[in-house]
Amino acid sequence: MNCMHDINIRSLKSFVILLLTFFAISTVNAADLKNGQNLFKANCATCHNKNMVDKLTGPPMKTALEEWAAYPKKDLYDWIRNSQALISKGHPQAVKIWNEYKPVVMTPFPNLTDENIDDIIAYVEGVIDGSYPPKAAGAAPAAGTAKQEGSNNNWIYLGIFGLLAILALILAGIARNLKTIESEKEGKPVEKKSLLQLMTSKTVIGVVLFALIVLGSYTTVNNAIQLGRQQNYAPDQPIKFSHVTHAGINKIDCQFCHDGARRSKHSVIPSTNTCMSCHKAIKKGSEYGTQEITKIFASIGFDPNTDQYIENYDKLSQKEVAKIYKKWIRNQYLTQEGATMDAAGKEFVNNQWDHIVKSLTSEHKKKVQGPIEWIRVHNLPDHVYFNHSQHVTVGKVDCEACHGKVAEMETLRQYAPLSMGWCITCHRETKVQFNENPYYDSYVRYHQELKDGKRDKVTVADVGGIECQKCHY
Amino acid sequence: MSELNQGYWGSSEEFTNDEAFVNSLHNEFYELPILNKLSEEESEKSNGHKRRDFLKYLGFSIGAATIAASCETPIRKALPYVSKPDAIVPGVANYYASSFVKGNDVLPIVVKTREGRPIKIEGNTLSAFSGGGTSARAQASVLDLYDVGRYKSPGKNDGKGGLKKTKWEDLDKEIKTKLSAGGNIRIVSNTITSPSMNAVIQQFITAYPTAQHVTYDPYSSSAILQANEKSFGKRVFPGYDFSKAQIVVNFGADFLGTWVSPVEYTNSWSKTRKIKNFEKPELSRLIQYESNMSYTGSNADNRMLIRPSEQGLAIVKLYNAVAALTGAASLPVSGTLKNAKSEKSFQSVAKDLLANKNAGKASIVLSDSNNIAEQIIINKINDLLGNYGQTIDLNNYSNQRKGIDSDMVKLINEMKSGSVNTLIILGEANPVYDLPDGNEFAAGLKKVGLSVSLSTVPNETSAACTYVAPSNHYLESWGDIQPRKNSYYVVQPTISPLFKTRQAEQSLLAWANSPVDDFSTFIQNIWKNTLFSQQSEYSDFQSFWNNSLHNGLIELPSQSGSASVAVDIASYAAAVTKPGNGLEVKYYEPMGVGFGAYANNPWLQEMPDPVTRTVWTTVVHIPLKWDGDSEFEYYKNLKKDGLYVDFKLGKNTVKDIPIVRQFGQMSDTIAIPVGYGRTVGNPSALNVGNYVINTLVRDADGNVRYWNDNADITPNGDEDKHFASVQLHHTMGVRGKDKSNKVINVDEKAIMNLGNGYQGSLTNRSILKSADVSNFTEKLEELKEFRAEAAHLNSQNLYPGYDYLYKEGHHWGMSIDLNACTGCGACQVACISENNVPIVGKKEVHRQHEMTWLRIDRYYYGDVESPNVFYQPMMCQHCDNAPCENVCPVNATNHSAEGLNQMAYNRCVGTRYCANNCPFKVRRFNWADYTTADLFIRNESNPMPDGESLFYEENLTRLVLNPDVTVRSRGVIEKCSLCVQRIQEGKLRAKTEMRELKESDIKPACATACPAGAIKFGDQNMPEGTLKKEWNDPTTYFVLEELNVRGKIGYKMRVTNKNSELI
Repeated sequence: MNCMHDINIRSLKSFVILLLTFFAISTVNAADLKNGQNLFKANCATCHNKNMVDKLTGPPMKTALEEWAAYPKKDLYDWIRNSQALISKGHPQAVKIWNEYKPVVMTPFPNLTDENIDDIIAYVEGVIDGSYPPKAAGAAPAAGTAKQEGSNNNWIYLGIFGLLAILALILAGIARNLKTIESEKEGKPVEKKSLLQLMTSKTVIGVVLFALIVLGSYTTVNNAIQLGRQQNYAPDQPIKFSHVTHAGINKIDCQFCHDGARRSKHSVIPSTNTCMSCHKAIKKGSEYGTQEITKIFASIGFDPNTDQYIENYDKLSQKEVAKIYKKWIRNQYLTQEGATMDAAGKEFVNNQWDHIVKSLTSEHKKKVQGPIEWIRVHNLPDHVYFNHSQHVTVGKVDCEACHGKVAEMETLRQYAPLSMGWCITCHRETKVQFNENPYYDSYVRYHQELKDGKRDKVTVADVGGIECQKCHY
Repeated sequence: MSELNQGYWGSSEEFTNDEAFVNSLHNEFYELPILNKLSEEESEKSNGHKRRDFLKYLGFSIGAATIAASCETPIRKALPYVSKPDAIVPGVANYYASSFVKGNDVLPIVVKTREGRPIKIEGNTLSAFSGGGTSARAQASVLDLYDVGRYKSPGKNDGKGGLKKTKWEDLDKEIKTKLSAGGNIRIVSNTITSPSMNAVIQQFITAYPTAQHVTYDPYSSSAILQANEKSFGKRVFPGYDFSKAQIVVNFGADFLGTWVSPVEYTNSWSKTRKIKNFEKPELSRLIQYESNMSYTGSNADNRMLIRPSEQGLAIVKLYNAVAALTGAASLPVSGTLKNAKSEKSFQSVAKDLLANKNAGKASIVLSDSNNIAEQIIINKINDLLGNYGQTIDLNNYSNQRKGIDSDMVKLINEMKSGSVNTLIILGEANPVYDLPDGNEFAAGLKKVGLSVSLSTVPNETSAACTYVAPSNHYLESWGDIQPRKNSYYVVQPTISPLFKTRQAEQSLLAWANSPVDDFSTFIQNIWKNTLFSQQSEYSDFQSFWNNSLHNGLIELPSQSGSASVAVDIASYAAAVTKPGNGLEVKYYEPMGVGFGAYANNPWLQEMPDPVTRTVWTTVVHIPLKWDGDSEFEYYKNLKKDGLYVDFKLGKNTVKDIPIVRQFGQMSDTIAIPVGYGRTVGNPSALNVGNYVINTLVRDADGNVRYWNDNADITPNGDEDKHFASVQLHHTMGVRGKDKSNKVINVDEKAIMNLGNGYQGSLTNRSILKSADVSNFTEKLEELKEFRAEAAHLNSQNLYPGYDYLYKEGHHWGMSIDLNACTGCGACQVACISENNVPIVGKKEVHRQHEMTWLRIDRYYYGDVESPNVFYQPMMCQHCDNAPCENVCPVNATNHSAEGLNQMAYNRCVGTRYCANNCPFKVRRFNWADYTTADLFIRNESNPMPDGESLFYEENLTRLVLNPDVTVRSRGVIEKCSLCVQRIQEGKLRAKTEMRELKESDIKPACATACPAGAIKFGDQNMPEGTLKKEWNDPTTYFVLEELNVRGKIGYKMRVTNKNSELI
């Protein structure tokens, strides 16, 4: 008995230790990868493809890791911290990469520690072998479900309405028959109205008119509410910018370009120099060749022929501007197999440049130089205050929740109705980061209720999120 | 009997039961809706709105809406930066430390910019000089940047009022050629506080040795400078420290409002007016000797009436009284003051001052007199009281007044004799307008070969010059200021120049062929050579300079030294002004438009004068006499404010100035503000008020005298049809006639007849609570009882209320210290600036359509002949049991869980029930589309009376709008939101930083603007918060607390510290 007891305790002990070790290991790993992911997003994702296998400005991570595996790890650390130093020392791998990618210089990251770099590598390896991010049980979007229910209800109502209508018709038929029978019994002549008479009778006209008015007003009001809403609005933009290419295939993080979303009310349409951080290297597009990316160059004044920014670009005449970019388009055209500067070639160059000029100028902007006039897709009325950082940074709402699957949109489309009802519904359902953010500590009662189990969540509406002056002031 | 038993009053109408006044009390909106009004008044006119027009509009709008609805989506564009500056995140405000500079008005500030454009001025809280406060003028200065009337390029006056534009290079060439041709060069400016600008002028003088710099000030203090030179051998304007002065005896200086450095003075004076000890309150005492109810006088504890010409006599009498007690030699004096009370007051004042001195405390005796002898005697009094080195500092002196009037007389003579070849006029200096002999100056100007004005905006002087080389607005400029000897502040540009202008310093450097032609480098050199060596915190200049730019200031420690008057004053006793005869007039600088330089600014034009509460007009203050019952005797039987008089002085007559009947105005004296009647300027300045500066005179020393005798006013039977005084708008008291036609307080009557215990209007109303130090304990007890009674009544409630909601999260509130508040109006203009509050113009204000969210109510109390004044900033009280919310048929106004009374403009349909039901009368209705926010503005005829222009019509002006606040359109009610946009911003900051909210996160615009620190905002739920502390203060009360509206603006009782011997 005693012996058994002892064994039991021992095995329990070892089990507990095993369990603890397991947890410890798994948490350490998870933290490493998470940190690696953050570091990757912040530092590397600009130039290295997020899918780790394709090329972007910089080499794909998968090949890079394979190639660097042949050298001591310290060399890779040195490379990341200051690649130019390693190249000048003549490190064979460094020189190899440089020859392949110059003149693009890898940004030095002197602040990354060995541990940081290990985290990043762990994350990259995780992504390559598919073990990261860990697969979570897919949470079904709440809004979708609600919609489903709504349409179900409509069918039920329609069904009930149909049944009642049939019932009413049957009853009316019975009543008429009874009346006829009664009249026949009493010997009165049976008044049989023709269909026309029936249809033009006061009662029918009255009922129909009433129904028309009710239906008409209902539709008018409903449609009037919709006035000014632009769901599914997808205007043509001055640049055929493809979110599929950028956010989809190349997996560039939304907030890399829309860097206002985390800190401002505006998510911010990226400035041209943001585009240039990649397009200094990627000078031709996969879809449109020189046509679209040249617009960026012509806006900011980057000469792709020489890889230099043009001095006093603002002051150049339209002719001088045309000369620079036509040269670029021509040269690139000539790189195609069998292309010569014949009539077709000239027409190609001229057409493309004319298109670029048309896209970059407008009634109010006569010059090619200067900002690109994007067309706003998401428009809120002036009396609505919306703040991106409140939702993105504080509320930790995914961009896709409101903007839809942007990564699949060739032309950006307004996904949500952006109606007040839509906002309010979300505010009623969405939980705030109540326990995570010390800001909410002043809501003492809610904390107590959560603790006591009287309440399972605190929604935005619970902290005043559907009050007028949260959005209107 | 000179005191009224009913306590507080706002105007004489309240005693005489004026019919219009009584009617206005019953109607929130005293006139008919605008369409009826227009159809009544203008039906015969072709541009009037008629019924058929209305139908047309109706048809048009329905049609337009239908078409608009079926049209394609309007294309809205978004233009990102090409290269985004690192500092700018679109949607996030940036703040830059800088300084407000306009003429001789300077103030350290912080500028709020959005997407690179300045939209709001805040105080610089790091500055000990201003204490973080601002003035209405500084607040409004941001609008000047977007003034459509500004000079847009350099040019040559064509003599017909137009400007022939030139290029800077051509202008420089022409001016340089003429300058190097030789001859006398004179540079005219108001006082310059900028060390760098002074260095630039020095450099210019080195380049052109025939050049001289002449300084003058519109409201001159040259007598003080000259007196100090004679008394102490230093021609400086002293630094005053009111925070150490237990007693201030003031002969007419408006130091809280307009005199020299009002923000600095208000900041230090108000420190002595906050009650800390409730057992035995300690307050400073302000004794004011004056003829008119000046703004500073209205804040005085004791106001003694003397005629303007008696000031010299009064000063000598005070000296003799002080001398008698200190054993100093007395001065010969003859004559008595007209006012018997004032005549016998000096013994008591002297006793008071000496007792104070013997208790080891300091005081200040000061005067704005421009008579040298009077100022020397004032110096001697201060000397006898030992104030030098304590409250008056000649070491760390002020740089804010340097102008000597006689220099200007000399210059005019030179100009007229033709010996001045070149005249350069800097900055805001406008001698043609603001000198008493402006026409002489203009005549002289014609004989000057080359005259160049460097003004930012067209003014009377620049229009008379041959060239205009317009300077930048200060928000586009580099610069520095040194208001006190040891305090330096930076001016840095917050936006590129909007037009082809160039800052004055830069122009002078260019004309002087300076080796350093970039002014920002020039300033850095000056700071490197002077200031950098005086500090030890920074070892290299760049970090010193960067830090100075960041903080906006360097304030060096200073040691104030004592001084004594080194001149025999006996000889000066005879040189003081002699009492004058007849009707005497005192000229004063109004708070808003100043000496005319601010007349271009509609925000300031529409800021009511704190005392008269008039806007957009000059007024003549006339005295009134009360018979102790219900009859008043008005001067020349002028029975109504706004009646026109013709003002005569010597040969000059100024026609058609409206009058106000002014309590506290001494009999046989009147007062007139200067600064109106501009003839060159933008639409806000033109045809507003009357020009009176030409009726001023100079004394034998050449100093301008700001009073005159033997004046005359004659009623001409006409009146100002659009006289705009907001005093009787939105009044809160309920009064009426009883059977015997006597005015009664309806509330009191109701109590007598029906007994106590009813809620609502049947109890005595608590709007104002005041006390004096002498009866403080008693009044405090009274207040405590009153509040206990109100609390008891309010607790008898069937409804459970929403306290459980308010206890969660935040519950905002405010506290206003009525004792620190001086009524300056900075908060009001700050509110206009922050919240896009429309400016409506004189005629609309006349119709009670002013839109200000925050008004400062002015009440009189005490002695009717010379009453005390009570200023009460009044805005939405955010009642937790709000009467306005219950009556809104569309729920456009409702309550938030944070205790805010919310207003949803887009839901409002304009029934105005809420405004009618608001006991505080703080809700404002947009009668017209004042901000041109409506979509179809161009399809309507101008809604303003007589086609007055709308102030936000121009795109340039609209740049000043705060993008975080909705611009309201016609037909909606608006009101104070407690700056909800700032609350939301502050909360968001805390949330993104993952921390609890701090009090410093949120400060409403009014609170940051206040120079006295009287307004405090906070969260009731914050355990150790400011609000808890302020509201637990026994002097705190809530307006109309007994109505159980549960307002959340706590007011702290106004307490005076009267010298009882002077009453």
